[in-house]
Amino acid sequence: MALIDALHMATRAMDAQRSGIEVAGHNISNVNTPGYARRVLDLRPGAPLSPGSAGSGVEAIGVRALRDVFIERRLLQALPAEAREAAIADGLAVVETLLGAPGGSIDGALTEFFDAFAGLADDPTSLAARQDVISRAQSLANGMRTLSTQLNAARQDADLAIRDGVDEVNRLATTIADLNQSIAQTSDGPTKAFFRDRQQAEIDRLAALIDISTIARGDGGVDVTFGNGRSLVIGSNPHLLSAVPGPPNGLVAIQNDGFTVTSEITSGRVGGALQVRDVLLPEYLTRLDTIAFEVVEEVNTLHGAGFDLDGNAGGVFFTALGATAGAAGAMTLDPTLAANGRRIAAASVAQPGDNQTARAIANLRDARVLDGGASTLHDSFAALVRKVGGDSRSAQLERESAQDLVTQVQNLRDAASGVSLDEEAVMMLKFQRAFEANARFFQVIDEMTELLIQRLGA
Amino acid sequence: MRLSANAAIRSALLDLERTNSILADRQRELASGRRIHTASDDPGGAAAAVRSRAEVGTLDQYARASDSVEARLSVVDSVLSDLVSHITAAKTSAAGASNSGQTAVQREAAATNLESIRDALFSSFSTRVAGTYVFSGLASTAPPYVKNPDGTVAAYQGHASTTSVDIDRAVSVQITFSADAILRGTDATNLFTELDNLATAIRAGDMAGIDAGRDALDRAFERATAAQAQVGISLRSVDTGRVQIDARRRASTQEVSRHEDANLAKTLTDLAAADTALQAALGALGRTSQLSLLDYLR
Repeated sequence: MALIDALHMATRAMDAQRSGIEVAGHNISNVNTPGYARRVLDLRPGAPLSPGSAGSGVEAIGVRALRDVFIERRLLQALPAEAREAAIADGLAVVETLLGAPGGSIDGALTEFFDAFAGLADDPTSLAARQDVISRAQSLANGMRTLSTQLNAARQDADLAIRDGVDEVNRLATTIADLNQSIAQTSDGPTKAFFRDRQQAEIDRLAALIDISTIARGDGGVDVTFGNGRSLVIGSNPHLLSAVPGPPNGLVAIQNDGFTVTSEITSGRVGGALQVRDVLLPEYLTRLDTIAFEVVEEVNTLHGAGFDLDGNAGGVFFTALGATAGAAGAMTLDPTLAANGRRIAAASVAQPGDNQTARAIANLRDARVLDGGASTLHDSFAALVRKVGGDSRSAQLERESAQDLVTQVQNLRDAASGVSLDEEAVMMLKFQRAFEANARFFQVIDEMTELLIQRLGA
Repeated sequence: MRLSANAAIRSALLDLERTNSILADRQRELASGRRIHTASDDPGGAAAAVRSRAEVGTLDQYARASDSVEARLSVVDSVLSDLVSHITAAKTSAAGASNSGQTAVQREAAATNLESIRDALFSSFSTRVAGTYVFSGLASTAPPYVKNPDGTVAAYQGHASTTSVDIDRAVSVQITFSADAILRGTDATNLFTELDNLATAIRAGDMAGIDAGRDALDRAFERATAAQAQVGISLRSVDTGRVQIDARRRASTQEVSRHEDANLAKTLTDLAAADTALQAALGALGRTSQLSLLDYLR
């Protein structure tokens, strides 16, 4: 090898070591960047330039991003589960608050309602006792309507969360598609890696919203599907979702490419909000409506067979309801009776001192009128409390479990792709020493060349 | 396995959040004295607390009913005691008047006494409790008897059926009574009429009439004592029932407390443990975050 070749070799080596330090610096700069995969500088020895030569030094082949596709895929499976349980837990935390404490909610109102009728049975001619019945009945009806309204409002909140989630999914899908285009348009490895880092961060955010799968493209980008293999991003084309309001109450259905895909989204924050909106809250509302309907039906049946203070037939106590659905939200005291306590039918015969109807209504508190004769009204409300509490507790526990899994997988990803500051410090030291050594080599060759020139030129 | 800085911090942060959450829960328990604030704290306990509180409410209602019933029956018992006393006094007057040696003045005095007894009984049986006539049966808004213009008492205008109130599950006590059942029973006329007839017989010296009046008084006495005995039985059942209700209420209240109230000793222990764990986690994170190779490279 000629001396000039050795100088070139030293120059290339210093460039390579400088690139190594640049890579370490880039890694350190992005230690906290979401989606960033640490870079490594690929080096290879230069080929000998002539027979008998040791080689031509080092060549920097390129900068590579370290990603483990299997761990990335595992994380995309873990993230939606954690987000789903978080959404359910957050949604049910509000519902729990609406239910109130034991004794301070519908259960307390039921107790006071039956107590009022027991008080009327004790003194059926008392106008004060009749007014107390009216007050307690109105409190019970108000409590039912309020809780029903609040549960329906919680459904609307979940619906809003779904709409917001769909908007966010579309934004992320559009960004991922744009990045696919950018990746496809460049052939430079580091530039592809740069776009890929940004894309991975968006994919992680998308996975927290809905359950997705990714398929690597040949050009370095990714295609994204969801649900039963529905297209979300294919190359540079996003297949956006739409949230379409529908009857009867304007709650949205999610559509993709003209198909309704609501039932296919079962995970992520959107999946969790759908579970709250379409499964859990309707179940709670149905239970509440069943309790309200039974109260109205049982009381009206007894009251209608009774007689008021003036010997008139009883009529309805609560405004009649046509169906169980919506019963809690429609429960009201009959306005004629509410305005005149004398219309309350405490008697079973047309005698003012009779109290059989009032006694029978008061004793409804112990009547097993629900769940096929197995439950009293209080039992049924207790079952509702247990269900809400149980669902919320399950979501909290499963969220913790899913968080642990996500943390473990993220740590595995960091082990493969994350930046270790200590490691980069060692790399900096390594490349720095190598740079110093190659610079010294360059100096030696330079001195040799100068000596040769001086001797030959003398 | 490579451990990046983010991995260590991520795990530590998750542990810190959970320890903080436990600490906050224990502090809330300690401050409120309750371990159930939302249903998810203990779903089964919350449901059981709903049922136990409902039972406490029911028992409280039965206790109030018992108090009200006892007050009414005490009044009824007092009236029946008066009735027994007055019948006894009437029998004494009638017995004296059956002596054929009685003077007209003495017979007049006896007759006047019987009429006074009649008026006193009329007043007693018009007794009202909380505005209702307790001796009118179901027709409790009207008095059981009214007076005729000549001062005699008209026929019973109340109702034969009576009112009962529940003082416990499947336990009820009669709170209104039919004066007719007590003052007439199966006789053709009521006690007021019998007293009037007896007074007339005494004034006339009608021994057969006096004997018939004395027989009527004997039958009225039996009816009165029987009614009083029944009221006594009812009062005893109220007392007995109240003791049982109190015991069951204490049991139900203990159930509510068992489900809802925090075990303060355990809460304090858990709080101390959580606080220690939090401090240890913070200390460990602070210590490890200070270690870096960069500090040793010069």
